[in-house]
Amino acid sequence: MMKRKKLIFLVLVFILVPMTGLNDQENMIQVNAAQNEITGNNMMEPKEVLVIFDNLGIGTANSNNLNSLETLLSDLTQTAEITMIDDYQAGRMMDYQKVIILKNSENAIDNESFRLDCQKFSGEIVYIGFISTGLLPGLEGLSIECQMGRTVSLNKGEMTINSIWVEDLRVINQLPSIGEATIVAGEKRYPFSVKLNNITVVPTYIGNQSFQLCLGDLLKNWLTPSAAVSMLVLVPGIYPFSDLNQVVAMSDAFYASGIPFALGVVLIDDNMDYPAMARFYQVLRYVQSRNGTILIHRPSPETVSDSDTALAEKMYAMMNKMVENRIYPLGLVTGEDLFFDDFNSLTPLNAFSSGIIISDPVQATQIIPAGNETWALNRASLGIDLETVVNTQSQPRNFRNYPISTAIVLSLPKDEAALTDQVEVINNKWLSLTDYKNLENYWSIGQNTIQSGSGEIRLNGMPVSLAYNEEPVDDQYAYQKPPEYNLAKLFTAGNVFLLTVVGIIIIVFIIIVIFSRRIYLNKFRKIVDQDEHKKPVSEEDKPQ
Amino acid sequence: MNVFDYLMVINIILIWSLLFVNIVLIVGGYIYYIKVENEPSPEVIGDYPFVSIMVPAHNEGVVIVKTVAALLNFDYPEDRYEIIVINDNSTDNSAELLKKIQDENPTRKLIVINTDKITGGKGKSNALNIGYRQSSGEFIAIYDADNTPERKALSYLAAELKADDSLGAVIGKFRTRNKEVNLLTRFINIETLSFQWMAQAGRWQLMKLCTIPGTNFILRRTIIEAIGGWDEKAVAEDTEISFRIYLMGYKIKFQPKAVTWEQEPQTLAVWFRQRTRWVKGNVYVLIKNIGYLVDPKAKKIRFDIFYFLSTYFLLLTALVVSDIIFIMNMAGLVSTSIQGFSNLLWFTAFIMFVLGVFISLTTEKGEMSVSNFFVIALMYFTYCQLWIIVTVYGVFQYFKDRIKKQDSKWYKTERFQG
Repeated sequence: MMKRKKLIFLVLVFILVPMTGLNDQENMIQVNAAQNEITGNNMMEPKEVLVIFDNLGIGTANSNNLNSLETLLSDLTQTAEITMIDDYQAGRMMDYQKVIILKNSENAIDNESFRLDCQKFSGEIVYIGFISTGLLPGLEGLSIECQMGRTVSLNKGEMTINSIWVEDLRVINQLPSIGEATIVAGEKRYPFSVKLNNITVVPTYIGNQSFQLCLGDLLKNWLTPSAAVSMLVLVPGIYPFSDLNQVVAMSDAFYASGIPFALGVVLIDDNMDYPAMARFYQVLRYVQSRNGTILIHRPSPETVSDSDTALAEKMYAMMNKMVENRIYPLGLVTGEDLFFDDFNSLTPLNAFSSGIIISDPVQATQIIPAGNETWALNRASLGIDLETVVNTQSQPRNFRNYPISTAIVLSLPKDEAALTDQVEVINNKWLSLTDYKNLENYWSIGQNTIQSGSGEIRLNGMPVSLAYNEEPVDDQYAYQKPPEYNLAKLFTAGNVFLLTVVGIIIIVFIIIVIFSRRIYLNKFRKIVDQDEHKKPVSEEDKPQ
Repeated sequence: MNVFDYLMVINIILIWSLLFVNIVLIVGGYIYYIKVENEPSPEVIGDYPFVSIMVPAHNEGVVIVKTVAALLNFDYPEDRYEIIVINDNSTDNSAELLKKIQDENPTRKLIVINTDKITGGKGKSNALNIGYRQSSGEFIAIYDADNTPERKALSYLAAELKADDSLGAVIGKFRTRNKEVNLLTRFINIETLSFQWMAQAGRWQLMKLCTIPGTNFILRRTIIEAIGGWDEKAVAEDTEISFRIYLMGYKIKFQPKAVTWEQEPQTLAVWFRQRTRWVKGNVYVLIKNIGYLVDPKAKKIRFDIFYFLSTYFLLLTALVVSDIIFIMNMAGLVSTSIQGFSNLLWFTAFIMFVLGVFISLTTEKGEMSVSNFFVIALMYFTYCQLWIIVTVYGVFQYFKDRIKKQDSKWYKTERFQG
């Protein structure tokens, strides 16, 4: 048994030792400063935030609550650890400065350790959702009023977001203080949250953008009150076969109206020498010259490759090609589901210091980050729909910013009328939009390092020109098969060669076997005859 | 192209190169077999040389009687050979059994040396050195205690050695006595015929090189005197002494007509321990003699050293690394841009392997059968894969012993009744 264990150990050593050695050599994508700066889950920082939730609220209005909370924290560049109440282990809460409890259902809490720790915990708590009787001291006295199926408005200071449908509204039946966020239902105003000693209670939260902005306001003041916020415009999902004429028209219109914007570009890892790609790069250069910023969509590992190495190689090639074509992407666009993938599988996308997190078109399942730890970029913006902006009223008319960094997500207008409408909405709102390249951004992949700040982009430390020069694209472009790897050729040739050699050897062997059979029969005829007639072998033939 | 691609290419070149080397040896071996078949059996010309047959034995009571009986029955003048059994620190009834044989054969030169844990018990090399000191033959023959040599084996070996002064030693062929016991012994039987007898014959035919197999061989007393006996640190004393014979300028000839039948391991555990000892022993010899690879005076053993180096380090590493890359590739941990060879090639290579091994079986009575053809096919997927494991383990154990500064223990292969 001992020897078997040793053998297993040995095999493991053989597997692991070359892996570590080879991976060092393999990393084409260099680990860079930006990556180190990412406030990832493996950083040596004191534990700050623990999120404890009771369940995912699947099938209820709260089914997106955990996702939206995770996204909010990432938007605030805050990492957190996440656990279910059922999995909670005694004393864990005490390791954190701040705790967020998300109660998505009215179900009773069975974990006694959790109950006891809640009583003892002296740090700050944000309690979101259904109040559980006897869980936290001081909450018993709160008068909670339930209203079913209400359209409400959320108000914060001079800004009001209207027309929010809430199925199960729970509000604290007391008058809000001046300046704090409120929920307006009909004629009545309720506080969005109340603070009781170290506990802030948010009785109603549904994971839509309006509530997200309101909760974002609360969490920002709770976590990073001094962080600057910005508002961006993002047009995502642009790729070579989008309506590029419309992209050009939109760029011109936004430029004419003084609207800085970012274009979310879907990376294409094949056929990069096709004329369509050349034209696409030309359009992107034009966008850059019209005060547009290029961001790249995070490729889904499933669609690009099932291997990080292959993804890294492709990323290297794609980014290199973009820079060669004077396209300078400054950040990342990612959906929530990809954002919360395993941190380690993000290489090399975590090379980017900034990005925009957008909602997933279909919210299929709740996302619990791998390892139950979230990660965050150095700076992120929360994607919000234009509809949310439209539903937001502000006094005075100058909109200023939402309480947290946001990016208004616009679709590429289908025609001129749609474009005019978009521009009109933005202009009428008097939004305070930020040019992405005015923000500090950084990434480094392969030989290229891109930085931006103060409206300037620098490639490997040198400022780059964003002026557009028309470059003709050859329409008569003839497809040229990309050169195959020499090894592929070698293997194909080797395969044919070896097949021939092995084939010849097999023929020679068959001839030898046939020849041998004759010798065999001549030499051992007697024993063969005896075998055939079932006679015993004579003593002479047996071994001595 | 990444580092894994390059590694795969190196591995594939290594694996295929060694495969072809073995095919060449099979063909060479077969040619030698035909040649020997057409030659008359060797006869001693003139006086029969006096031969000391040494049999190291440690707790060999199960098999020793049969072995000594076979040795006493040699077709060789009784007064021209002596049998020296070194009953090395045995705790079984070997001493009584040997005494009984001595009593039953008072006229025969049968010497039994009984050692205890103070005077013996230090492995086969030490036992051979003890026996050698009491021997008086001009030729020394060695047999393992589980052997049943055929009657003419000794005279064939002695005749070859006497006839050619350039020979330092002559080795015979060994066969599996217990091949019908189970699948493992059938595998070993096929391995013995193909990878030992055919490979030895091929090396002799093509390069006049052979490696002493540990039993059923004869060598000159002068050689043992010159090299100062067996290296007691070597657990593969046969390989070790072969290298020393080459370096003295002698050749070692293979005479397949001199046959002995030996008992092979019947359980996987015994087989594993025996083969681990072989691997460790050969790695010891390889490392001890690696310098000769670049020594211009050691041309003769260069192929053998390279062959051992290839088998125990290059081929092994290539197989292990390519398997690891394959598994990692499947798991998505690494990517290789090369697809390797086609399935057809791998299939034809498998057929080539089966046919190559089968050729070896055509040389032996009762072995050229359809069932053995399928046993070879099965062997490829089982027994051959076990070789990788045992070799990895043996190499690891060797280096572990070196790091811990321990001498390798001589594991005595367990014997089975029958």
